[in-house]
Amino acid sequence: MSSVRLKSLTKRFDKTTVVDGIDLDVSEGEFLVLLGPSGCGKTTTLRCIAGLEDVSSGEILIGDKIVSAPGLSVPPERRAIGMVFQSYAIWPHMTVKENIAFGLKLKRGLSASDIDTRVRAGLDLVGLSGFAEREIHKLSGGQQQRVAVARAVVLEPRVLLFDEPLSNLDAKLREHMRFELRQIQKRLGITSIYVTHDQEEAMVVADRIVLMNAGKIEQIGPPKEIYNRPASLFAADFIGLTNSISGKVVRSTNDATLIAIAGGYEISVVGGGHSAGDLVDLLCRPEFLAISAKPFDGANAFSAEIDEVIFLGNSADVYVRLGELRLRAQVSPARDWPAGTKVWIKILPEDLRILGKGK
Amino acid sequence: MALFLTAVVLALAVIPLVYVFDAQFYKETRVGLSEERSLDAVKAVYASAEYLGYLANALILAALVTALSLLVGVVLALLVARTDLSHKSLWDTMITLPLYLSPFTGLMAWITLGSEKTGFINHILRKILGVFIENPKPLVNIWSYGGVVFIMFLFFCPFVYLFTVGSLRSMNTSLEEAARMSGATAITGLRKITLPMCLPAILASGLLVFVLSVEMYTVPGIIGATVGFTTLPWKIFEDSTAIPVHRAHAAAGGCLLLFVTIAGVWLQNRLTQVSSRFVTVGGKGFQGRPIALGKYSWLAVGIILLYVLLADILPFGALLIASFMRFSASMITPDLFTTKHYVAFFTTQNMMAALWNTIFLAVLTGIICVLLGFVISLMDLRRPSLVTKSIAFLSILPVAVPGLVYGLGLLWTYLQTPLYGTIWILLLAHVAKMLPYGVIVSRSGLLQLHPELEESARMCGATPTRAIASIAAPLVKPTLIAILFFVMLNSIKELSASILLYSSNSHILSVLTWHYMDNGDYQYAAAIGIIQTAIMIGIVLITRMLFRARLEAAFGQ
Repeated sequence: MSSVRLKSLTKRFDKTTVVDGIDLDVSEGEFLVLLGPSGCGKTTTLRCIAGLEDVSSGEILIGDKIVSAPGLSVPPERRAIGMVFQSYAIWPHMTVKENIAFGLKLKRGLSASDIDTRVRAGLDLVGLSGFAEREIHKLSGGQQQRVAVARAVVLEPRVLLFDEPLSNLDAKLREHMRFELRQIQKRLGITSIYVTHDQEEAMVVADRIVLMNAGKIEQIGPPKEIYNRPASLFAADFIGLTNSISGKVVRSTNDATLIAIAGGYEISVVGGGHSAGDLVDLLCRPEFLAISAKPFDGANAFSAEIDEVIFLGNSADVYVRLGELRLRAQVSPARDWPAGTKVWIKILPEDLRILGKGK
Repeated sequence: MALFLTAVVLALAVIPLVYVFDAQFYKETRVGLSEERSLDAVKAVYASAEYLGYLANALILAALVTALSLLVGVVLALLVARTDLSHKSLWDTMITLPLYLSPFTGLMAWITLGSEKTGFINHILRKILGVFIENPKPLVNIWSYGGVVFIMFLFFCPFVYLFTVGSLRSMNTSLEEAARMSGATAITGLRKITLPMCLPAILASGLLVFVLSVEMYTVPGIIGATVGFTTLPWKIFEDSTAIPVHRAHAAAGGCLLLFVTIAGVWLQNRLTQVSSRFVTVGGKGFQGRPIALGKYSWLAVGIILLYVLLADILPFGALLIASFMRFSASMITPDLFTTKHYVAFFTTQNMMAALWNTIFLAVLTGIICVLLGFVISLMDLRRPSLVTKSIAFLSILPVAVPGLVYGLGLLWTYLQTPLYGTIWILLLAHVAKMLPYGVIVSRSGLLQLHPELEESARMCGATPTRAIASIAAPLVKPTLIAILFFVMLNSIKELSASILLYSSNSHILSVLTWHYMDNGDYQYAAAIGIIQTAIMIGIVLITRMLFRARLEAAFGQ
C-alpha cells in the first residue's frame, strides 16, 4: 500500500491538452474516484499513473518515489500497480486460472504451490471458487470482471486502478458489483483509484470524489460534501439534479441573505456575507422542494401551478410553474396532480445554496 | 531491430527498384549496359508507337479479363452467399480450387484440351458432330486471343469471388431486410442495397485482377508469340533475356509497367478506404433469409457447374491424362499410356533437386514473411515513429511491382555478388514479392486485438517483449497461419521473377514446367505440373491438420 501523488500533471496529445496541471494526493488505503463526463481527462490521468502513457509535464509519485516525469517513466511492469480495464482484457486463449496466474509466474521465487494457493485465494475473494479450469468464453460479463479483479489483486499491488470497470455490465449487476468492489477494497486496504462517469457509482464506492472537467479538477471531497456543497454549477449539475435560479442579493447579514428572483419573488437563504446588488445563482435540489395542496407557513412558501407530473413508481417527478420559472421537485411517495392544479411550494432557507456568479 | 529491418527492407524492396529505374538511362551493349548515359531507350519506349502499342495491348487484354472475371465472379458469389442453393461449402471449395493451379499450368492443361487439331475437346466434338455433318470445323481454339482472355479469366475469377463473398457474408443483413420491409422485392433489395454496399469490395477485387493481368507475361507471351500479338510484359521479358539483350529498353518498359500498376494499387487503396466507411460488420454471423431460387435452381447449379468444369475438372483431368501419355494425341488409346515421365522425374537427380528446392523455398519464404510481416506491423502499430512507419511503407511497396520487373531489379542488383546463381537470390525475390502480404494481413489481425489485452499483461508485470510473446502472438496465430499458407502456395506458383533468377544449380518446378513447355515436351511439363499441384495440396492438408486453419480465412481479411 502506498500513497500516490500527482504534481501539476499535464498530458498533451499533439496540440490538445487532455490533462491540464492536476495536483492530487491519494492517501494510503484510500478509495478515490475520478469522476467526470467523457473526454474530461480522467482515463488519461489513470493511464499516466499506470505508466501506459508518458507525462508531458509534472510528476507522479508512488510512495516517495518519482515514477513519471518528462523524460522519465518507470515501465508499467515495474510499478507494482494492479489494473482492471474497461474491456476486462481477459486473455481469451487462457483459462481462468492461467489468467490469474500469469503475473504470479513472472514473479521470482514463487513455487508452483505458492502460485496455486494465491490463485485459489484470489478466486475465493471474488467468489469464483471452482471456476479455475473454466474457459474464458464460457464466463458471463460479470464473471469475467471478477477474473479481472482477481488477476489484479493476487499480485498484491501497491496501488489498484479501475478504468470504468462496470460500464459494460447491465444495470442490476452493476449495482451489485459496486458494493462488492468496495468490500474487496476495504478488506485488502489497497490504495485504489477508480475512474467512472457514473455519479451514483462514485457515491457508493468513494472515500473521496475528484470531480474533473475539461482536464482540470472542479472539486475534491467526500461524496456527501460534493452533493451538499457543490462548489460550482457544473458540480451541482453533474452530481445529482438541481434547479438553478438566477437572482440578485437584496440584503445580506452575517447569517441570512434575501435574494430577489424573476417574477418579483424574494427568497431567504441561510448564510450571509454577500453584498446587496450581487448577481448570484441559487441552487435547490428537487427533493427539498415541498409541494402541498394546502398553504405552507413560514419563509419561502409560494403559490404555484402544476406543469407536469411524471410517475416513476416509488416517486414522481413534478414540474411546477412559479411565475416564469419551471422548477423540478421530487415527491415520494408519488402523488398525482392534473396539470394546471394550484399548489403551494416551499423550500427551507437552510436547503438552498448560493453561488456567486463567476467574475 | 529497427536498423536490421531497415537494412532488410532496403535490400529487398528499394535497391532493386532503384537499379531498374537507373538502368533505363544507359547506352546498351549486346549483353548489358555500357558506362555511357543515354536517353535512347527512354525515348524509344515512352514515346514510340511500338512500345505504347504493346502497353495498349496489355491494358486492353487486362480490361477484358477483368470485365469477364467481375461478371462471373460476382454472379457466383451471389449464388453461393445469398440463395438457398444446396451443397454450398462444396461449391465454395470448387470455385476457389483454381487458386491451387498456377495460370501457367492452367495454360498447359488447356493446350491439351483446346488445341485446334490435337485438343481433346475438339476431337470429342468432332466425333459427335461428325455423325450429323461432314468434316466439322474445330470448335475451340486456345491458340487465339480469345484463348488468352479465357485462361486468364478462369484463374483470376476466384479472387473476385472471394472478395465479394467475404463482403456479402460480413454485411449486416438487416439493411437488406429493411429494404424488403419498405416494399422492395428480393431482387430489388439485392440490386439496390446489397450490391451497392459490396461495390467497394468488388471494385477492389477488379483492380487486383487488372493489375495481375497487366503484368502477366507467361500466358499472353506463349500464345501471343504463336498467334502474333505482343503485350508490354512479354516485350520486356524478350528485351531482357533474348540475345542481344536490350536492357535499358527492358528497364524503361518495366518502369512504364510499374507506373500503371502503381496507379492501380493507389486507386485500389483509395477504394478500400472508402469501403471502410461502409463497414457494417455485425460480427454475429447472422444471415438473413436466403433468396429462394425455386424453379431456377437448375440454372444456378448449371452456371456453377460450367465454371467448375472449365476451371477445375477439365484442366486437372487433362493435366493428369497428359502426364501419363507418350506424346500429344487427340485419341487416347491404351498403348499411349506410360509412367515414364514420372519415373524420369523421380530418378533424375536434377529433378529431385528442383523438387526439394521448391519445397525449401516455399517453407522458408513462408516462415520469413510471417515473422518479418508480424514484427514490421507490430512495430508500426505499437511503436509508431517515422522510422517504423517508413519500414512498414517500404515493405509493402513491392505489392505494386510486377514480378518481372522485380526479377530484373534483383538480377541486376545481385549480379556481381556471390548470391547470383544460387537459390538465395530466388529466396530474396520470393520474400520481397510476398512480404507485403505478410505485413498487410498481420496488421489487420493485430488491429482486431484490443490494446488493453497487452496493457493488462504489462500491468501484471510482463515486459513489452513478454506481453507480445504471451498475449499478442498466440492471439493472432490464426492470421499468421493463414499468411504462412498463402505465401507458401504463391511461392510454389511463382514464375515471373524466378524465371530470370534461376540457374542450373537452383532449378525449381515452376521454371521447369516453363522450360519443357518451351521445348514442346508437354507431357513432361504436365507431369511436373501435377507434382507441383500435389505439393500444394499436400501443404494445404498438412497445414490444415497441424493448425486447423483454412486458406479461405487468408483471403477473407
